[in-house]
Amino acid sequence: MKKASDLLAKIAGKVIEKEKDSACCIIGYQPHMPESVKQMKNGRKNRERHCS
Amino acid sequence: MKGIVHKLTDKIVSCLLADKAIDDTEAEAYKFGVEVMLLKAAHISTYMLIAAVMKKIPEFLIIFGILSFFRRNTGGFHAKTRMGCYVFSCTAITAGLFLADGFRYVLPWQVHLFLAAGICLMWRLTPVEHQNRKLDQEEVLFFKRRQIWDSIIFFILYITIWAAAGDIRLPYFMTVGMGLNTVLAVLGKLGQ
Repeated sequence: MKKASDLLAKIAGKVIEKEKDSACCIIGYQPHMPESVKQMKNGRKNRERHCS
Repeated sequence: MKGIVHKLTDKIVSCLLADKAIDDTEAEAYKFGVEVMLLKAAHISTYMLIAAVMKKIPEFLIIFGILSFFRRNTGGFHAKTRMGCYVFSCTAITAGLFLADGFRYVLPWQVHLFLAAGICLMWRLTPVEHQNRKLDQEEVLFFKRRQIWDSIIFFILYITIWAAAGDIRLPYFMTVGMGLNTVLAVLGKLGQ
């Protein structure tokens, strides 16, 4: 179950990355994109910079 | 459809949190990601089914590939409800696949002219903002710039394929994909 969750989280993470770099959902309904999606990218980058 | 999607999304995100695959601060972002993932899976599988029933899978792959390639920069029309979007997009894909047979009735110069007009209009409109996807100034400039580079790649591919294939079929399919994107952009702009 943990492996399945990790895989699902990885796929959803990749979807989020793609959506951040797109003007809209290419296919399907456009759900409201929360600010935390944009901040997640910046947050991650900042954490990576501090760690290196 | 909204209820089912929301329930499924909430359930999946709860499992991800329980299994510590994500943390609490990421829950809202992952709710968005999981919903988009589920909607995309439903849409793509239906499109593939439509293409298989119409026996036009290669045409679908080209038209949809080009549409996706440009739409990530252009944005455009989205229906107000999930079911409405599902029905509309399936209709648009079906229409695109019917149009695919049109290569028999058009001349090459007509395809090139339509392509040039469509790309100019697409550049003019890119990006089309949606109420659920607000774009800041930096993003607007990014999508405009990337659209220009993507168009250059598209032109090189178009000319290479036309020269290599010697007939207009594949460039025509590429033009249908670009045209669909432009039509969705126009509809999105009109809906603003």
